[in-house]
Amino acid sequence: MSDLQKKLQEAYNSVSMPPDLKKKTLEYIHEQTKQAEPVTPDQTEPAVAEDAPLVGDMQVVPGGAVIARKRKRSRTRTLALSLAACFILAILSFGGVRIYTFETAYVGIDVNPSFELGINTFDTVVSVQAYNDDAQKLLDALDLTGKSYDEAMQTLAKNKEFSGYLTEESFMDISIACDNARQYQALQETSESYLAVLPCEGVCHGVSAELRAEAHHQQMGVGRYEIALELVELDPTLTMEDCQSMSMREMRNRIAALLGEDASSSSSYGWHHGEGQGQGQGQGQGAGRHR
Amino acid sequence: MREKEDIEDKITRFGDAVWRACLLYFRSGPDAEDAFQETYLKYALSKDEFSGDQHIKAWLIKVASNQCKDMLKMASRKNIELDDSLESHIVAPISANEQPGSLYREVLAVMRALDDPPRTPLYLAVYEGYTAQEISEMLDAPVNTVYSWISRGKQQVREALS
Repeated sequence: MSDLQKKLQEAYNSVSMPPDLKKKTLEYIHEQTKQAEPVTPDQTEPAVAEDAPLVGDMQVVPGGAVIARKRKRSRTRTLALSLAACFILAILSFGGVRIYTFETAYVGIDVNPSFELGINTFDTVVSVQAYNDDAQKLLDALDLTGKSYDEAMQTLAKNKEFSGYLTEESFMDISIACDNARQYQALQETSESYLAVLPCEGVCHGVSAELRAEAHHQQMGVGRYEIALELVELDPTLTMEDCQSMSMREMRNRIAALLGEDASSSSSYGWHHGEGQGQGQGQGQGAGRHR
Repeated sequence: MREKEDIEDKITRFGDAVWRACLLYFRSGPDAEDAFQETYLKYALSKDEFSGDQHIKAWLIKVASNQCKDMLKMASRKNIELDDSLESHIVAPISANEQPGSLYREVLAVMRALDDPPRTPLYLAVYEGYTAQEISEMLDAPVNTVYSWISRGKQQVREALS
């Protein structure tokens, strides 16, 4: 047991539930479940008849209660609403360009090339960012911006240079940072269908904005950063800089060897071909992008 | 709703674990007690079926964590100073010479000061003994992400305690 583990164990072993908390909790549960009774018909509010007498803006209902009545919408109000709608449309038109270029999701791809695609709300690639020389060379030769994510992945699949990295021995990590459930699901489905036709193993998963920021601080793709953290933890002789030059497969094999596991198994890693887990919590930022 | 005897049994067997999970988020006894009670109320009302004790314990810890986070979001309150009610739950010092009560408080305070994650994954891994795979299922996060949380959390706690 490490020193840290020992300290945490001893600290938390010293903490126990207050002796009276059990009794208080049972009483609380009893009170809460006793109060949760269905409303009886005579406890509901009286219905309002259409012909109930009016008193100014109020309406008298059976039983003598007075409630606010609904007023008919005036023509002036309708005109005001129409003008407001036109104004909003004008704003949206000017803002449309901004919306188009604003990244709402980031898809990181790590094999040995490590790069990231910035995706807008229409699932279109609006920016690309390379994290190593192999990726920079690849992205310089391709024009992925302006393509839908699906088209961008097909372009990559057909690219001879990128295909050279995707052998049976290699591994591709696709990470998605996105806080919109619809978009995340769409990107995940596209990614997994792409992984399914590749000769290499791969995984697609969600990542948080926080993790993405940490990875970029280290000038790494998110997938590479995650596995590098794990490898460095297991082998302190390695540094994050060492991991920069390793392929995903190489790092994965080293981890498996250190853990005494079969690198191709799907044990504690949960790494299956095309399996996605969780949902990212990324936030579009879009600063310093290569467009 | 579950039987009273069942609820009482789960409080007896897993109450300490749930209490500790609540103390990951709250320093004040009343706040942690509220979260504790709400957690068991949810257990009482839930229709989930469990595959065993470990499943129940993991469910309770997860619900307690979510409850605490919801309470913090709603109240947006800051942690108050360590009060008597928390100190009274720190028992059995190892050695009076080391003033372990203060050491324990320091460790607990360091853990509470961590962002979450990595606070909860680190606690689940190092204290409760869950594997990264189990934690990934509890927190609905990828296994690799859990590994990075645990690694980062350990580093931060070591730096804070050094």
